[in-house]
This record gives sequence, structure tokens and C-alpha cells, in this order.
Amino acid sequence: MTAPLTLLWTAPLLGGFLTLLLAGGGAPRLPRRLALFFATALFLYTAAMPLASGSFNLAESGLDLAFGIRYSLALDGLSYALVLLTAFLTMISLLGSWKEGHSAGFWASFLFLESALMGVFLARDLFLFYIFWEASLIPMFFIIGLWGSANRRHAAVKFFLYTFGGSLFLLLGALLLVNERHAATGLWSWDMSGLRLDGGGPLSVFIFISMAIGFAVKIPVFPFHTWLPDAHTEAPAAGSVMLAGVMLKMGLYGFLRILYPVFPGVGARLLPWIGGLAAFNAIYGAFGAMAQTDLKRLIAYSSVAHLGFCLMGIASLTPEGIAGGSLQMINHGLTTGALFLMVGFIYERSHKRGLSDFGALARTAPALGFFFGLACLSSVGVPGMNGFVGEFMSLAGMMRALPVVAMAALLGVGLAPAYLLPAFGKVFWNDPGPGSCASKVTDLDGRERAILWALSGLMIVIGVYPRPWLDFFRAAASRLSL
Amino acid sequence: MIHAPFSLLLVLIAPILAIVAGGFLYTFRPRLVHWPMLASCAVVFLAALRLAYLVSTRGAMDVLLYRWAATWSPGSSWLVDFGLRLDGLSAMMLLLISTVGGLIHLYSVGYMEEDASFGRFFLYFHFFYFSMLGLVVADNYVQMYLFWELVGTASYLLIGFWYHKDTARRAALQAFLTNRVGDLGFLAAVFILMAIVGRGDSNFTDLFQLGASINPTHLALVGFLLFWAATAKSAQFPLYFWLPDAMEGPTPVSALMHAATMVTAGIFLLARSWPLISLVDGLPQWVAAVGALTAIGSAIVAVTKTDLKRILAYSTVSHLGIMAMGIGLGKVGGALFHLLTHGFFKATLFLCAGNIAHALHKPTADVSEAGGLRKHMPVTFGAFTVAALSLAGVFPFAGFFSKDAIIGAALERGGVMAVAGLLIAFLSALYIFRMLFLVFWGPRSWQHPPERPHEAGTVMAAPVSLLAAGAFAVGMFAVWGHRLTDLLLRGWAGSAESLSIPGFEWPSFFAGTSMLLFGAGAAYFLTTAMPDWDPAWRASRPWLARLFETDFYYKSFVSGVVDAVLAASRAIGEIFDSRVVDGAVEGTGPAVRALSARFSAAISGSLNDYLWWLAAGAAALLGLALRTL
Repeated sequence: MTAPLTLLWTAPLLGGFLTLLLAGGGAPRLPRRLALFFATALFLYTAAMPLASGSFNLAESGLDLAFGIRYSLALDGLSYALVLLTAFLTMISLLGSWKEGHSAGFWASFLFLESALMGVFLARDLFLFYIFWEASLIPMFFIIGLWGSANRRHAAVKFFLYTFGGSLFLLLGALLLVNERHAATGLWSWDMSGLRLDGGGPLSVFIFISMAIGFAVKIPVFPFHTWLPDAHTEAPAAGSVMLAGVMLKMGLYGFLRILYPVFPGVGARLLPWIGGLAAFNAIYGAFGAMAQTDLKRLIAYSSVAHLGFCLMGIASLTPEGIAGGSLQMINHGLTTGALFLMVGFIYERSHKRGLSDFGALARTAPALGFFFGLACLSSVGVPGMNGFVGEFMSLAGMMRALPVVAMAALLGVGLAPAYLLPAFGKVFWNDPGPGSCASKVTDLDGRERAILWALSGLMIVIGVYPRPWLDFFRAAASRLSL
Repeated sequence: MIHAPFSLLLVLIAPILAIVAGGFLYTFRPRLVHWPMLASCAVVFLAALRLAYLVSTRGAMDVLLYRWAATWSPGSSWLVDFGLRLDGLSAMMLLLISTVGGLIHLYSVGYMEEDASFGRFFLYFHFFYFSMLGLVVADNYVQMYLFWELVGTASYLLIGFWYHKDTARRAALQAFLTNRVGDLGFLAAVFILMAIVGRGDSNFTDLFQLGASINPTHLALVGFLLFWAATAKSAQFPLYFWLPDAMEGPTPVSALMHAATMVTAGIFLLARSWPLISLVDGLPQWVAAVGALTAIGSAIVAVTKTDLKRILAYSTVSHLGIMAMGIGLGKVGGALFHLLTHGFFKATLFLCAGNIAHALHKPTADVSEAGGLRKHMPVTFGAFTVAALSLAGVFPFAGFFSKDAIIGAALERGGVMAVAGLLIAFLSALYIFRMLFLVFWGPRSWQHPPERPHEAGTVMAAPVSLLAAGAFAVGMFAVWGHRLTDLLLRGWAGSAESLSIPGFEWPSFFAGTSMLLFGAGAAYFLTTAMPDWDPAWRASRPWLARLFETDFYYKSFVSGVVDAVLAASRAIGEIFDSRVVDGAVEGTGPAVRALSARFSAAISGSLNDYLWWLAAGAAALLGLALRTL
């Protein structure tokens, strides 16, 4: 293959169109099979890439477009980890909603989404990045708005407008940045690797903050987070998996790929602010989650808390913090992905997701209880599982950069079990109350178990032996650390 | 390359294999799950014997297992290695855990026989045991923290094992969350140590060598944080309150938790960290004070309890306080010795309580339901008596020697500590003899028999008898041969003096034994001579009953704190987040619409209006033009 990186985003795009086109043939099962075929093939291809070439560093730069915009893609450890996560979770999402009986558009949307996400993580041209960034909104808008639950329209519009509004700050920053470069060098170029504004003048601070707002909406960082609980709650399970598993990471990726490399000086100067905000996120999200009575909303708020830990590690600008925060992106994708999928399985059976709608599921659906408990423990950050590694290293990094912030964030660590374990207890241990739907929740079937074994297996493997996984982020960690 | 004695690896490998095998068995033969666990217990016991021998002949060793995590950048490296630490301290702990833990596994086979979740029980139970084994052989703080949390997780699963009971669910959650509060101290201490050392790969040996060169303020912070962590796991004030409620789990869980795993972890942490703690000015005194306060307070409460397991639970809190006091007084050896003997007699007592509950077909029993059982359950009676005498510190039972070592140190220190030591000796005897009299003699002989209470079967009676034999004998072997001190000295980074265990001494013997006799006499008087006194004071002085019921109102204070946190979460999650933060976002929609409505009002479609606007505009322009002129 001469253009392996181009293939990564064109193959799913093509797959999506094929899925749509062939759907009219009167074979209702064809679209999902086709979609799964493409997703699986792409995952296997992605997984095999470093095995074939011996490294995950690849670059591909093609033609120049107008105004200094250049079609250039590249892969490094950081990108590869997220590309692999995208491919894996797309496959898992499709398998997870296998029996939901959706139309071809549903299955195609996931491939379109995959294509856009691949593009985001591969692009090395700021303009190209922005195109893919915005393109990812469209399939997700449809996934929420068409296949979501009762209040889906409102959630979809809110999601779209909010994140689109955030992207405008990103675009503003990008335009100013490119203009600034033109002023300095006389060249129009959107190439990420060449962009660097070292001076800590007010303009570079302004650009940094403007772009940071764009990314912060995506992560999401308080006070820009309120689109997330609505979007998650109304999205179909597979949509939540992609949203939490991959799309939130776009914001953190922006910090790692653009903000810190372009503005090393500003990043270091704003460390207390970003670190403090991240720690606040970790605590605020936990308090928010404690107050929830809807299982999906609760997990959505837990995402706010977890992404706070990710950002805190990255913002510490120490090698262990950056590596830990980045690994936590992957961990959160696996753990929260598993949790959302399981809530989906429960919803599929009972059409309920309130904490008090169930009870004693551990007795009636023991396999579900086992996997849900395991994912909760991972999310709580119990050592020996993946969640601990990222949280631990993020905190360790911040401890070296700014001990006060790390100490404050410990409160978030303490609160994690205080919202997840009671929720687990209510659904899986409590006696079912009157009007409970617990009897409708049958235990997992073979397909669902296989999916959850894959996710849980990874949670444990990463927790017991995180070092090879940290290697993905080694280059980024050493490049960006102060 | 790993150059570890095979038996050291076995300590971790055998339980992992057993859990994996048990997991497979669980899916199709849940009734056979206990076999791999029992085999693993046997292997670990033999390995522990071998390791104790190895340590005493060859000395301590550190083994590198693998590099857990690492990042690299120019000028700094951050990494965490996992390894195994084998020295006298870990060898002693391995012996305790494998002996007591193994026997309790065996006992559980009988105790849990009729439980529908038999297989699940053994999986959790063995995981608990494994986590504790991992904790004591950890060779750095990160790894120790890892197993420390796994112990907490396993306890959550086991305390909540009978999750159909509301009290069990609550107790499980309370135990996990309280321990988490303590864990944060551990975590913070680990981070501070990492930041001091500049890298994460320091094992205990290297770290303790740095000891004196660390900035005293940082060291003090680390020391206090580690002690904070120990107060949660080892149930010391102010974080002790989860332990008495934790007896909601099946009795073997309580036995394992109180004797060999979980609560011993905090004392172990203090002993392991002694080379650091002893460097901090005032910290040992603080540990001793907290230990004494906990020991006295919980012993008083234990005297007032009527549930068998609750009496024993408060007694454990009290004895852990004695151990903390011993450590604080600089007698680490004495405290560890007490940990060892306590493991045997407390396991025996719990399992006897389990036998009684089992005989009555209840998950737990109250003293009012038991009584006069000595004729019906002779083996249980015998074992309980031996263990009770050991706990009270009757010469020559094991508990005498270990407690004597600590009371001797307290008398030596004098002042408040001496008074505390004597008071604890008196109270221990009082509550345990009260229990003995009420359960096995008792004015109320066993009243409403659905069937006669029966003695436990062999699979339950045999482990209890063996543990009782240990509760009698362990003290003698250890002290008179000074074997324990010799073993603990292997690889010990603190002063040799802190490990010394005094032999038999007349002054402390007289002091301790006379307090014991007072306590036993008082117990006899209050239960047998005045059988109505206990219900009478509860009825006539409800405020006093309430005072003891709430642990001197401390439990009310704790639930107030919990309520405050919940209220804060509601204020943030339900009100602030949805009304203020999201309200502002949702408000933009109507705001834009209202704005556009305002503007669209101007576009009325009436020519007249437009002409007025035109005239107004022209007038404004004219005014502007006139001003510039």
C-alpha cells in the first residue's frame, strides 16, 4: 500500500457510502454486515500496521492545495494510540448494537464518524485538521438526533450548536496563528510542525486561550460541559461509546498536538490555571455524578471527572504526567465504553435506565453484574486495573509540577467510589422495589459477553503491565515536558 | 532475569492460578471451587515455612520482578519497578497469614456449605488472601499501595457478600469509602516520596537509606500521612468505625479480616515504615496516644455490646490500639508479636462465634440468645476458653507474653501511658470474661430450642482446635526462644533495640495479672452474681445506653459529615449545575429568539413606520452634520 494513512480515513468513508448504496436491495441484514466488515478489517489493518513496518511512525504528504493548505498526514505513537482506539471502539460499537434493528443510515454513520476521527488524529495540517474536526460533528449529530431516546432532538441540536460554537474559537485561533506566521516569515502555511510562537506576548496568550476554549468544549472542561450529559443520555449506546470513548479525546489531543507544541512558553505560564481547572473538573464531575439518578447521566458526569484527570496529567508538563494523562484517554475509552455499552444492554431489555428502576441484577444477571462491577472498579481507579495507572501517573506528574493542585485533586480520587459504588449497589445489589424492571433484564448472551471480555481483558492487561502501552506516548512525553 | 527463590514466587503464583482455575470451575462446577483454593493454601503455607527458614539462614533479599511503568525524557527518568521483598518482617507476616488464613479457608468449607453462593465466596475469599500476601511481600510503596487497595476491594465484596441484606450493603460501602479516605493519605505520602526521590523506583532498602537526609518537614508529612492511612485499615480513631459494622459479612470473612488480613495491614505498614516514622519528632508519641485512646474507648464500648461478633469487633479495635501503642512506644517487636498472637486468638474467637451462630442457624447471635452452651458445644467451649484466656493475658497463654511486652513498655514510660496500659488490661479481661460467662454459663440457659444446638462438624471443629492450640502456644515458642526477634532482625532497617521482646518480668506480670483478675472478677460479678444488672442499666439510663450505642456520639458526628457531603453533591449536581451553568446555556436559545422577536417587531411591513424611521435617521444625520460644522 503506497498511501496507508490515506486509506485509514478513505476506507471507512467508502464503506459508509457502500453501506448506504447497497441498502436498497431489500436485504435488511446487509448494511450492518457490511459496516462490521469494514470496521473489523480496518481495525485489523490498524493493529497490523506497526507489526508490518516495525514502527508506528509514518508520514505521508501529498499535494499542496490553495493558500498554503497542504494535504499532509502523519502517524506517531500518540496518533497511533488514538487511531487504534477509534478503530477498536467503532468495531465494538457496531457489534454492541447488532440487534437493535437500525436502518442502513445508522451503520453508515458510524463509518463516516470513524473516517472523520481518523482524519483528526492523522492530519498534520491545521486546516485539514479543522475540516475533519468539524466533519465529525455531522454523523454524531444524526446518530443522536435520529436514533437517540425520547429527548433526542433537543440533545442533538444542543450538542451540535455548542460544539460548533466552540469550534469557532478554534478557527479564530487558527486564523490568527497562520496570519501571525505570515507576518513573521512571509509564508502562508498551515503546517503544524512548523508553527511555533515562543514569545509570550498578549497575542499568543489570546490565541492560546481562544483555541483552548475550542478544545475545552470538547473535553469538556467546566463550565463548558453541560452539553455532555444531555448528549450522552439521549444518544444510543453505541453513540455514547464513540462520544465518550473517542470524541472527548479530540480536545485533549488538540492540547497535545497543537497547543503545547506551538505555545510552549504560554503553556508553561498557564500551567497553574489549566492544572487547577482540570483538578476542579475532577472534583466537580464527581459531585455532579453523586447527585444523578439516571445511570447514563451518572456515567456522563464521571467522564467529566475522568477527563479532568487526563487534562491535569497533560497540563503538568512532566513526562509521567503527560504519559499518564494520555494513557488515561485510552483507559477511559475502554472503561467508560464498557459501562455505556452495558447500560445500553440494560436499556435494550427494559427501556429504563434510572438507578431505582432495577435491583438485585447481580442475582438475576450474574454475568452482567460481574462485568459491570469490574468496569466500575476500573473507573474507580482500583489498582491492578487500567484506571489506576493513568490516574496515578497524572497525579504523580502534577505533584512534581504543582503539589497544591495534585493534593486538591486527591479529593476527586476519594469521591470516585462515592458515586460509582452506590450506583452499582442500587442496580445490582438492592432489593428490587415496586414497579421495578429488574425481571426484564436477562443475562448477557454470547455476543455481549465476547465484547465485554475483550474490553475487560484490556483493562486488566493495561493495569497489570502498563509499560508497553505507555511507550505510545513516550515521544510526546519527552518532547512536551518542561 | 529473576533470581528469586521459587517458594517466594509461589506465594503469589499459587493463589493466582487457584483463582483462575476457580473461575473456570465456577462456570460449570461451582461446588468444587474450594479445591484449588485449599491446594493453594497448602502450597503457600509450605512456601512460607521454607521462606522463614531461608530468611533466618541467608538473610533478607530484594527481587526485581518487572518494570511496571516508565517514562523517559532527557534529564529525568520516572519509573516504577515491581519486586518482592523477603525479610524477617514479611516472613513473619507470611507465616501468620498462611497459617491462620489457611485454617479459616478450611473452616469455611463447612461454614458455607449450605450457602447458595458457595463458589463465589471462595473466589472472593481467596482473592482477599492473595491481596494480603502481595501486600506483605511488596518491595516498594507503590506496589504496597496497589495491594493495599486490592485488600480494600476484596473486603468490599466480602462484607457485601450477602447483599440482599440492607445492612451488609451499607457496611460494605462504608468500609470501602472509609478506607479510601485513609488511602488518600497513603497515596499522598507515595507522591511526596516520589517527588523527593525524584524517581519512582526506590525500593524500601534504598529509601530507608535516604531516611535521615530527607528534609524533616517532608519526612514528617510523609510519616503522618502514612499513619493516617494506617488508622483506616487498622481501625484506629478517627477512622475505626467501619470495622464493627464490617461483621455483616459471613463469619469466616470477619475471622480472616480481624486476624490475618486487612486490619493487620495498617500495623504492618507502621512496622515497615518504622525506619521513617522513628525519625519524625513527635510522631511515635502521637501514634502511641492515638493507639491508647482507641484501645481504651473501644474496650469500654465492647463491654456494653450484646452481639457476639460486635463484642469481638470492638475488641479487635482495642487490640489494634494496643499494637499501635506498642509501636508508638518504640516496641515494634512487641507490637508484631501481639499481632501474631492476636491473629490466633481472635481467629479462634470469631470462628467459635461462627460455630454458635451456625448452631443457632443465624448469621450472627446475641448474648441473650446464647447461654449455657458449654454442655452442648464442648469443643467450641474449650477453644473459646483458651482463646479468651489468651486474649485476657493469662499466664502462660500466648496473649500474656505479647501483651506483657507492651504493658511493660507502658509502665516503663510511666505517666498516662502506664495508666492506659493497666486500664486496657482491666477492660480486656472484663469484656471477654463477660462474654465467656454469658455465652457458655449464663443465667439464661438456652431457651427456645427449635432443635438442640449441636457441636460443629469436624471440618469446622478441627481448624478451630488448631487455632486454639496456637492461641495457647505461639507466645511461648516465640518468646522463650527469642526466635521471633531473631527472625525480625533479618533485613531490619530500624534499630535492633526496637525489636527486642522482653522475657518474663515480675513487675509487669504482677501489674497485668492483677488488673486481669479485677476484670475477670468484675465480669463474674456483673453477669453471674447480678444477672439483671445489664438489662437494668440500659432500661433505667437510656442516655447512657445511647452514649455507648453511638460510640460516645462519634458515630453521629460521622453521619453528619456524610450528610454534608451528600448535600453538597445535591447542591452542585442538581441545583448549581443544571440551573446556573446549564441554565445559562439553555438560556441562549430563548434569548436569541427574544432578540430576533424584538428586531422583527421593527419590520412591521407598514410604509408609515418605515417613513418615520427614515425621518428619524435623516434627522440624526442632519444633527451629526450640523455638529461637525
